[in-house]
Amino acid sequence: MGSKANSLQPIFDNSQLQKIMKEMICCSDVDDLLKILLNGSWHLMSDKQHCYGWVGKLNRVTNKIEIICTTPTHAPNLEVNEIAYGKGITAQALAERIVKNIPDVSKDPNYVEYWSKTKSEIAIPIMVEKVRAVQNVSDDKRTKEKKTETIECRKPIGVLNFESENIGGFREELHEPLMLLCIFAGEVIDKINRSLMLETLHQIEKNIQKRDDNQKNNIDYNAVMNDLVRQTAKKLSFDIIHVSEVDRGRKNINLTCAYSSQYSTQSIEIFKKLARYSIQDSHDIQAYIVRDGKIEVPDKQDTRFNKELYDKFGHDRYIRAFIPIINPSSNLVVGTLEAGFLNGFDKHMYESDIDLLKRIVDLILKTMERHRTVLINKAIHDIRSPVSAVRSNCSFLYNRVESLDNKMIRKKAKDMFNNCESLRYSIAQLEYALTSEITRIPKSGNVNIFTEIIVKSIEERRERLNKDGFVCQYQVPEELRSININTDIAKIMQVMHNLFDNAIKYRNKISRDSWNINIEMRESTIDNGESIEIYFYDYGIGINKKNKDLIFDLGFRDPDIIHLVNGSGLGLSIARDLMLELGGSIELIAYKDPTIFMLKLLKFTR
Amino acid sequence: MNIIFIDDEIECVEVYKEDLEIAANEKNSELLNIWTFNKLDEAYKYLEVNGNNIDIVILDIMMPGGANFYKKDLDPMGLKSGFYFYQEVRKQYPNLDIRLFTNVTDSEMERLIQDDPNSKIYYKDVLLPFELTKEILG
Repeated sequence: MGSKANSLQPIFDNSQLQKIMKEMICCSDVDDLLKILLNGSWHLMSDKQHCYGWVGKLNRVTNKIEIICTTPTHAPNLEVNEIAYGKGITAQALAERIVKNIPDVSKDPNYVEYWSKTKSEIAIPIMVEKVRAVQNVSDDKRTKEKKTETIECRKPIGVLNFESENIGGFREELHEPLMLLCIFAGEVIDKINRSLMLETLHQIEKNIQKRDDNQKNNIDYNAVMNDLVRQTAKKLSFDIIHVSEVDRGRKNINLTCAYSSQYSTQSIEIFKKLARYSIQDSHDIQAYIVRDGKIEVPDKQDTRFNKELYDKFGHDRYIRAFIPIINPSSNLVVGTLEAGFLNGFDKHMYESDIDLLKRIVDLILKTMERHRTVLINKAIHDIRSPVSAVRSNCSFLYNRVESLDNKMIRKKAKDMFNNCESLRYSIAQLEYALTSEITRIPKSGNVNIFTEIIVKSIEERRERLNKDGFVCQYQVPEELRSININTDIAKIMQVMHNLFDNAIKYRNKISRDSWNINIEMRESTIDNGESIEIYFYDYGIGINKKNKDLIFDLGFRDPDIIHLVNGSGLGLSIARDLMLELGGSIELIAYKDPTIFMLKLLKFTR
Repeated sequence: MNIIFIDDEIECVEVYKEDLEIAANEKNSELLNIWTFNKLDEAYKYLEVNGNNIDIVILDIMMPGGANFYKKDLDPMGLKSGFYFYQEVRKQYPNLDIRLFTNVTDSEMERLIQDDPNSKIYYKDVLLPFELTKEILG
């Protein structure tokens, strides 16, 4: 140790420490508080002219220490403004939550030079000393029920750093008072941060509410949810936030919304396609959360992670928590919230994080409920039109029957009948949007595909199709006309109705010649003829290729054609769910000229 | 009397048109002409030329906005296109009798219409054909 070492001995007493603490406790701004800590500590040094210091705070999202301020005198021209994880003595002190006092930096392999005159250095972590963190209980039997436990740990907030021109510039006596000040600062900063985060969350909620009030039934649900996720991630220090939702049939859980500073728009779309799990059969953690309805903070060795996604998106780098989204009225898990940050300086998911995530879940639930209300309103609107039409026609007939000829009376009766037919489907649609069920009988039975599905669905609406100028044809080979399947006729007819409804709504109004609808029935060639395929050819305005993955999403409407046709965005989404329920599928085979949908039904019920 | 009916589901207004025509015929009091349009852009073009000869416009609200009346920022789902049409027509013809005919309830829209002495709102699920006839022909 050099002779100058003694000159840096502290010359303070408790009242000096108390004064700094008092100043800090009166401060409500984190950066200002850190300045007080730095200046207060620096003034405690007797040999300030040979001592230079700075203070930084941890950015949990970037996993870096951001330098907030430096000491006022003799400050070198410090070019760096942040310190990365794992670099240098400072980073080590914060990562290990201990004071690092290096009497001779030239002998320390971890030293990173920022100032050429530095001979010795001391770094003191700013942290909350006792905080509760949540983690899954270590358990080798991964398939058993998971439990979480809370442990006591230290939470990193930032770091206070001094460098000296002298070897051995900082004596051990400095450790205790500086540590005391840093822990005190850590506690106060943590409280300020917590209060700011709650305020931020409240502001986000207010913004969503304001947007709801402004847009009423026009709300773009996906945009609201994406905004919510992006804002909460950015402002509440999470680097990833994923929202997954249980589908209406409660069969699968699908990723619907994702944000991370590391994800590109393209990667989010790939992620969404891959992150779909069967609630009943999947071993993925998302399915577990839905089944168990419990919060989990799994470690990186947890075998329930989707390995493909885990590797592709580098999820091993994150500490993550999974929170079930539980609908309070039904007590059912309707989705999951997954949130995390880079595993580095911070290694724990704290109870306060979990509390914050629960509040985000409340916001997500409110947004989901709002979306449901909007969809129901749209479905109700679809019912209002035919109800008004039937009512008007009834009134017209009642008042004018004596002045009408038989032809007109029959026409009005037929109009009312057609509107009632339309109402049957609209009511089923509303029922499905509300309850995921269609209760109209008969529910299931032996159905001839050709006569009871294809021919009937055309004949039911033949008049309207003719009136609108459509030519509707079918092509069914003789040998397939006798095929019967056991299915729910109400559901399959609803699917057909939705396809017809789209074809009529989205007809190409420029060319009248193109108003054709063709239906073909084929035996599948890829599964030994076990399935029947119904091809629905619609020569309408077509589907934009960029929306091919969105058209089956609940409430989705192509922004490019919203101004051309009104609609609810329910039809194809419900058609997909119904086909899945029937053990079949619906696929978009061609976008345009014609648009082709293929319905696949198993010949034999498994 | 010259009336324009604008509704994308034109079959819904047919019965109102028929009732008006029967009543006018029974009264034999005046010549009644009714034109129907299912697109806002086309109706607007027609009004630009013939607006001064039209007595009443009966206008649906929730309609595809077409090229001119779809306000993406204000109304991304296009639920109030008819109302934007009303505002444009009103600028050009301050005294034209415009009756909004809708299933949509919107307090802001109702307030604006209340302040317009030459407009009224009719609700499709309330107003019956004979009631509209009475409103128009007396």
